[in-house]
Amino acid sequence: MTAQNPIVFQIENLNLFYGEKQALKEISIAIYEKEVTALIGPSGCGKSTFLRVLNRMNDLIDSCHITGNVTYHDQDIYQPKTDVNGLRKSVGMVFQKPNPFPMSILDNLIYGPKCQGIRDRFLLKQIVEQSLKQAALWDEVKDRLKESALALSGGQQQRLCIARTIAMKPEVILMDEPTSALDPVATAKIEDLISSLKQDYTIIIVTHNMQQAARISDKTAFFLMGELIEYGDANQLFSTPENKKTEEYITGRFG
Amino acid sequence: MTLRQTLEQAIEDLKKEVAKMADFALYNLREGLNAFKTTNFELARQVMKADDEVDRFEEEIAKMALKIIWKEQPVASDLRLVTGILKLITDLERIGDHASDIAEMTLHLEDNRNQRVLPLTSKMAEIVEEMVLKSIQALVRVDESLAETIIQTDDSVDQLFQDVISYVTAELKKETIDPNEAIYVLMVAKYFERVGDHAVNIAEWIIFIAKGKHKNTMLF
Amino acid sequence: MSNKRKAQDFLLQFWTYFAAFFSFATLSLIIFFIFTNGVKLLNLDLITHDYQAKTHIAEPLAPNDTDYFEPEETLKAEVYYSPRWGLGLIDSIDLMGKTQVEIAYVHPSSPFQQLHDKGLSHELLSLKPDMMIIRIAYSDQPSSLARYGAERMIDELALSNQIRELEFTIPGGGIRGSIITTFYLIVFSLLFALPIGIGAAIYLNEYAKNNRFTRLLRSFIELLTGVPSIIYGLMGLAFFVPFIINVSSATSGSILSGSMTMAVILLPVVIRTTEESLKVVPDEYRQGSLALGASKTQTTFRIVLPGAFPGVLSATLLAIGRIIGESAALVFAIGTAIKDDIRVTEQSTSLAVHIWAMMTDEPANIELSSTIAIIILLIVLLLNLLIKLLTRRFLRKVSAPR
Repeated sequence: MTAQNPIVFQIENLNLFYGEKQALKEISIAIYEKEVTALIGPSGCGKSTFLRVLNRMNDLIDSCHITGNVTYHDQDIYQPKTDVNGLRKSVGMVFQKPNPFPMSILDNLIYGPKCQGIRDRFLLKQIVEQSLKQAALWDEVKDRLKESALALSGGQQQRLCIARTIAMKPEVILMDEPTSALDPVATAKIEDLISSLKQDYTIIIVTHNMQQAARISDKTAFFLMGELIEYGDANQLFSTPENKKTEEYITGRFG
Repeated sequence: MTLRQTLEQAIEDLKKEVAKMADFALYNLREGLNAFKTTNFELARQVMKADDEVDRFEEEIAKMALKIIWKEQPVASDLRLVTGILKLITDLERIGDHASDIAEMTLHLEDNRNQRVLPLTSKMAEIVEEMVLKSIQALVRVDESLAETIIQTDDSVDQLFQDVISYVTAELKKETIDPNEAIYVLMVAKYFERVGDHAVNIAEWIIFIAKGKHKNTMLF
Repeated sequence: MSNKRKAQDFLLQFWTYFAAFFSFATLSLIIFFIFTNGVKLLNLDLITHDYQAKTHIAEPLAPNDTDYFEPEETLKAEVYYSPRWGLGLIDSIDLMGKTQVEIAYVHPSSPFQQLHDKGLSHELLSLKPDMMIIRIAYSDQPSSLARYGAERMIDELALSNQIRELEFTIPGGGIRGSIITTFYLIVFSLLFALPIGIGAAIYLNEYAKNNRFTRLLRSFIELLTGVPSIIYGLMGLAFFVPFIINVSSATSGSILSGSMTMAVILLPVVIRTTEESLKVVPDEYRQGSLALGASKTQTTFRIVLPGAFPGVLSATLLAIGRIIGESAALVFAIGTAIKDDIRVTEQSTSLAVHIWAMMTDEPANIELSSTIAIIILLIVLLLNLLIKLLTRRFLRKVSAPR
């Protein structure tokens, strides 16, 4: 096996419950730095739920609780004293449906930094330009930063959401089916973006589009009914999967 | 019920065509040897013509395989099957060529003097035919252990060929064989040895289809 | 389709047409009634004058500064004009039928424009049309009295050279005081009700866990929206009036106690409407904000609340409408004395209570009440337009012009 990048997330024996119902069973997995890790599996298999464990967005659901270890850079993020807001600065999230705030493009981008107390206008301007350039959106909107973000097309809105996340200078970007609401051209643009972003960020992406996972991921994890069935180099998983269930899923023999 | 009925059907059809191509190539091989044994010019010409059919098979199967690739975006075992078939039909086509070569030699023989085909050569023909038939079985069942046995069998074919060489050399020294005739005896045997090699190639691609590994190299 | 079905369909349709017509007709009739009764008395004076008529005794600053004053506008035939003093008078009758002398016109340079009040206030006054002259006292002849009519007063005025003093009345009946009171009431009620109501709504919708207790709380608040406001008035009388009396210089019901009572009436409505508009804010915004590392509070106050702004605005409009229309509760919580000098620690009347006072008078003054009703309608119309304008401008700022 080729040399591995350092580990960013180490998950051991993760079990997740919504009240009595168990949604994730004994998940153990390591996520490596500056790679694209794709989570695939049929609907309801728990991949989105797993993603939301990593930035504690599951906290928003009252009945949700976990057992097991989730460490981010050797820190247990489910410890009671964890600074959850700080975690979410380092571990950003892009959602399935683009959700820009009902404000101008500029205000969307500086919202996060302002919440952290950054006031310096010059600094904010820099952040805006850098983030939009990294998200491949700068050329398209640089002349209309004061216009409403809702006036952008779906693909542009999603790139804006990515830029907004990048503005917080995270280490990890979580993406929950980011292109499932977009047309093929917008999807292709975002896939290209992901390929260039992985040089600077660790990306974990949930997708139900197998070909997308094959195209963009370095490592792929296959989830089925709350369990992690197989995890490995995308190269190997898409050509010679070890587990029969993985084979059946990726060849589309069952949905 | 499994999904992807179009893909399943396309793969079944693909395998069927490959089996037909192999049957046809083998048939031609037998008839080629026959024509040579009986110095049947008519039959020889027929066999040579029939090689066009084998070539046409190769093209048809290639087309079907490419269609599956662009249409169905196969992965994993489906991908290995389709790409493996693309590779092994070249070897089947070469087998067809050798049948035509053997038939062509008939045309160089003088009038209807029956040519000598050594028992050794007939033995080689038998074994090699068996190898090709097994390879089709191995393909349809994706049976790598069967493919392994085919590869093992090639040793005996090579050995038989060495025996033919020894025998002919001995005969030449003793001057109990017409040198012209000796050439043809050797060449027929050589063609069959080549067919054996191609059968081994086919078996190796079948192992790739099963495991993704070709001659001990992972291709992925 | 069978005949029976056709008949049913026809009846149902007929009912809807009729209901619409009936509603429209009834509402139109009411408006029509108010207008026909009230339009007569509608004028600017009504809004600007005090309620109490005020009588002044004053002396002109330049008591013998006569000149020849040509009237600057055409005067009606009934006006008696004195060119020497620049004063036009006309006969009129008061509510009792007594003769009155009303001022019809005062020339801009007339000495009657600058009068010195001989009473307590020592302020500068001037004669204006609609005022009534009771008596003119001269230094060089006996006084003119209103009882003898305008013509005689003008004749006597022409003869004199120096005016000693003037007794005149500024008519009352104005609703200026009540308008100011209504305004104070709106401001203070909103000042108490909005922060508490919006805050409570934010707590219920954003922070409170969804359990039996909060569900009970919500049902309770919903119950309170249906409570008749007169009950709140009693509560105001029992709690807020004494409270304000204790903490300030008030001696009875006051605008402050009325505002507090009104705020309590408004609270359930404000909480309900604000909660509804908070619910409408898409959850994706909250999630997006939290995912960026913002705290719950930052999310609530920077994203959710601004997003609920149109709803809060409409809650405010509802509240204002209720304030303007409230009468029974305020009768208890403030009182019924119509005042001209408005202080928040004292009694006065809102417009609605003013109407109540007019209608419970002997005899009931339907005309004036209708006039006040027209004014109230105009205020509500204006507010509506204002809110619509604000909402549209707000929405334009945040949504897409495609």
